[in-house]
Parts: sequence; structure tokens; C-alpha cells
Amino acid sequence: MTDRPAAVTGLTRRRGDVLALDDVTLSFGPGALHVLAGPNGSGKTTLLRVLAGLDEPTAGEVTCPADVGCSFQTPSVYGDLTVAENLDAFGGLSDADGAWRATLVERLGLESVRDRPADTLSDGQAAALDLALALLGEPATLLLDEPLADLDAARRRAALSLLEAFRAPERTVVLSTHDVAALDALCDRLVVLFDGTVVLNERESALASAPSTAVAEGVEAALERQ
Amino acid sequence: MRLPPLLRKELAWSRRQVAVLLLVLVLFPAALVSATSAFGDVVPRDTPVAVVPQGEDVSRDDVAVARGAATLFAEPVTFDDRDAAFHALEREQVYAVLTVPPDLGGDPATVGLYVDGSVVPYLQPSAAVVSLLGDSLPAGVSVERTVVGPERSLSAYLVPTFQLVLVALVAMAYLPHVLASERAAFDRLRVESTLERVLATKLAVFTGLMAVPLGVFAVSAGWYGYGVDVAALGAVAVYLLTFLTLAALSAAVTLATDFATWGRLCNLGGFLFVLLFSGLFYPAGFFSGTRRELVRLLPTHYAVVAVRGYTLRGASLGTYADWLLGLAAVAAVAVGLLGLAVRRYEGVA
Repeated sequence: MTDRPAAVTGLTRRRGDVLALDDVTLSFGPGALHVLAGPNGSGKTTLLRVLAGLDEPTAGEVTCPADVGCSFQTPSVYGDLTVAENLDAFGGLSDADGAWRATLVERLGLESVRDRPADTLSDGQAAALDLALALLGEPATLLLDEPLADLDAARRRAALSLLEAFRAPERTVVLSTHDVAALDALCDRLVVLFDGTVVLNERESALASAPSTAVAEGVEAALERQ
Repeated sequence: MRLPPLLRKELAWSRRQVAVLLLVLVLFPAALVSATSAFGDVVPRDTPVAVVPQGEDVSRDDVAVARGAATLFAEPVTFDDRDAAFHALEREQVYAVLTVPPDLGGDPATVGLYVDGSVVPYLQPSAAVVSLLGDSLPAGVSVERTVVGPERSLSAYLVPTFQLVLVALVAMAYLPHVLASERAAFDRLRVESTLERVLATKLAVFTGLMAVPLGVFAVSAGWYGYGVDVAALGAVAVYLLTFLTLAALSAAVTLATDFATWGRLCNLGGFLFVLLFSGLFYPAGFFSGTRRELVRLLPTHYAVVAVRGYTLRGASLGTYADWLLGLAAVAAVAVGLLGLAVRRYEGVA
């Protein structure tokens, strides 16, 4: 079940005049939950998209894992289809297990909206559906772009408990967030990006403070260097 | 309620959309006015007409006399072989066949004017052509008009036309709309499958779905008693190949332009171009000069002629076999272009 680890070496990604990532080298090994943090526009989403194989690097090398589940900042779902139809459509692509699907629906609070078109869901419900679709195929690697951002308290708790249960020696989770405090208990490794560069890259055990405090320290240090 | 802020917003919007607005408000109208000039004459003056000797005893001078007379209302094309002339009539390469008897100007003789009963827009003009020819041929020469095949009504003639209008509408307007509505799912689809597979499935499903309107056309035309063979094997093949071609091209434009507004306008422009320049309503011979050549460059022109042949004239599958192969080749090229557009989309998305 272990997939090849997601990794980038000397990755640069440019979009027109904007340098989204500048010479980034990182590897995301299995058995850990890697947290990407940093201010808006620091390159977190771009890094996740490159790792998912959705964006081509301008320069550098990328190893994309083969068995990936993704959640996106803007939910990637069929708007015209209901929640249940979306789960059918994408579950069919990943040979999802029926019992696991039922668990996700129940724990992420999608049961009551299962017959509603995705276009009519609230932001939080759509984000929950997007997360459910990422987890549906029980992939070896999860790439999650701000999965907690729009979730209400109950769904957020459910999402964190699903992620905790998902952590296993053969699995990798790479997750971007602005709310590192919510992940203090789960974070195995913290990567802080700033202006497309890595300003902090530490195992949780090596951090002097809690990950949420370390993010602020890392960004502050980067600002001072500028 | 204060209007100036709203007007300023519209001004800011129009500055951002200046290219699209130029396309919609300047280039489209100009193109439409230019397109009207393609339909200059109700009765065509330079329609291609075959001139063919009735037998081996017809001299070059006899043929020249007939050609001269035909020049008044047509663009004569000389054929040596009667079968070739009628084959050209069947393929709408000529709109009438003029058979020339020997010794024009000597003994009383009869020139044959053959027109196809399914090319309805030319049936009435051809009646006027009889008197025009009679006046310009030597004294003693009469003209006998014969309608080849079943004489169709204008309603029946328009059945294959509207079939292809529907094909173009679904392929170039509805399908891009469906793709745009599913765009949000593309990222996940790219991760869990490939866009090539997704689009191949969609094209296959839509191509299959086009059998439904085909059935509706068949039932409706039967109910109205038009006596046309909408479900002829050749017609179905042309219809589906044309859909596949136009659908692949419009999907390619949609992806290559990253779902931009101007991409949708390109598809709309393509749809109007197909409507105006495929000879859907008026046969290509009604256009003049370079515009006719332009029409004959379009695969949809051959599609409409072949569908008319299979549907209205009951042509055998082999009559347009070469065009069917051509349409299949064009469809393959269109699918190839879609593949390139997918790669471009994945590179810039």
C-alpha cells in the first residue's frame, strides 16, 4: 500500500510574472501528517497542485505519488449532481468501499443533504463533500488544501478525528492551513512557506514551541530577513 | 438610489471586456453583413450546369452552341460521359444536366434539361431556365425538362437541413455549456482519472444521445408523410461523424481558451459560420465565385449534400463513400486537435 513519497527538488513555479515557488526542495515521507503553513500567496496551494500533478513545474523535479486523494480550496465536485451522485461518480473511479463511504457521509454530516445538488450546498457542506471525496478511495497519500477552512465546529471535529484515524505508517497526509493551532495535536512536521520559499521545515519534536507558535516565529523571521 | 456608481461600475467592466465587446458589437455585425452578400441572387446566375452530348454523333460545335446558350443562366461544365454528368448531379456538383442532340440548328431537335427533384431551391428556377434556353438556342430546337428522382416539397427538403442545424447547435453551443458547468470537477477528475478519458466518455455519450433526435426526426417526418429516409445508414453515419467533428472542435476551443468568454464566442461564431457557409439552406451553387469555393472547403458542405442524397434521393451507401471516408478523416483530425487542446489546458490550468 505504501506509495512513492511525494517530493520536489529545486522546484520553481512561475505564473506569468508571479513567482509562486522559488527553488523549493521538500520530501513528504509516509507515516506522518505534514502541515504547510504561511500567509496568503506564500505558495501552499501551488505546492499541493504540483504534488498532485495538476500544475507543471517551471523548473526542478517532482515526484508525484500514484495513489492520491485531494481536497481543494474551491470544492472540485459536479455542481449539477447531488451529494450522493458525486459520491457514486468519484467512488466508482477509486473503487470505494461502501461501508467506508457510509462512515464518511455520517461523520461529515452529509446524510441530510445527500439528495441535494452540490451547487445548492453551503460553503461548509461543500467543503465537507470535497473532503469526503478526497478520503473516499482511502488513498495512500492525501493532499488537502485548507480542508478545515469552511467547516463548522462539529464537522471540524469530525474531520480532525478522521485524519487522526487515517494516519498510518504507510500513509502520507500533506495539509495546508491557516489554523495550525487546530492541528497542534496531529502535526508531525511543520513547513512554513513565505513568498514561495521554505522558511521553516521541522519535525514537531524538534520545534521549541507549539507548531502554531512556530508558524508566527517563522514568518516573523522571514519578514525580518527581507 | 444613486446611479453614477452603478454606471461607473459598468464603465470599469466594459474597459476590462473591451476585446469581447469589440468582437460582439463590431466584428460579429460586420461579419453578418458580409455574409448577406453571399446571397445576392434569388435565381442563381452562375450555377454549375453539366453539358453532355446525347451520343457520339454530337459535334464540338453542337456542344459549343449549347454551352453558349447555357452561359446566360449558368456556368456550363462540359462532360464527355453521361453517367459522370448524372453522378455530378447526384453530388450537387452541378444543378442540372443539359443533354445536347446532334446537328443543332439543322433538323428539329430536343435539348434535355435534367434537374434533381430533391434540390428543391433549384426546381422553380429550372422551369424559368427552359424558356431562357428556348430563346437562346437556334430556331427549331426545343427544350424538355425532366425531374430526376422523386420531386420533394420544400418541407421535406428542409428535414436534413434542420437535422444538421441541430447537430451543430448541440455540438457547438450545448456541449461547451455542459463542459463549462462541469469545470469545477476537472481538478478532481484529473487526479482520479484523465481528462482524455473524461472527454472521450462525454463525446461517446453525446454522440450516442444524438440518435434520439434522429429518431424524433424520423417519426415526425413519417407523421407528416414526407416519405424521406431519415434513418438511412449513410445518413446516420454522416450525421454522427459531423457531430463528432464539431463537438471535438468546440470542446478543443473551450479547453484551449481555458473556458474564456471569447472561446464561447468563437464557438458561437463557428456555429453561425457553419449555418451560413455549408450550403445548408441554399445549395452551394447558389453562392457565387470565391464564396462557392469557400463552401466547398467545408466538410459540413459535403455532410449536408450526402445527407440530402441518402435521405431525399435514396442514394446507395457507396454513392458518397469517398466523402464518408473524408468526414471520418476530418473527425479523426478534430479529435487529435482536442487531444492537443487538453495538453495545453493541463499546461496552463
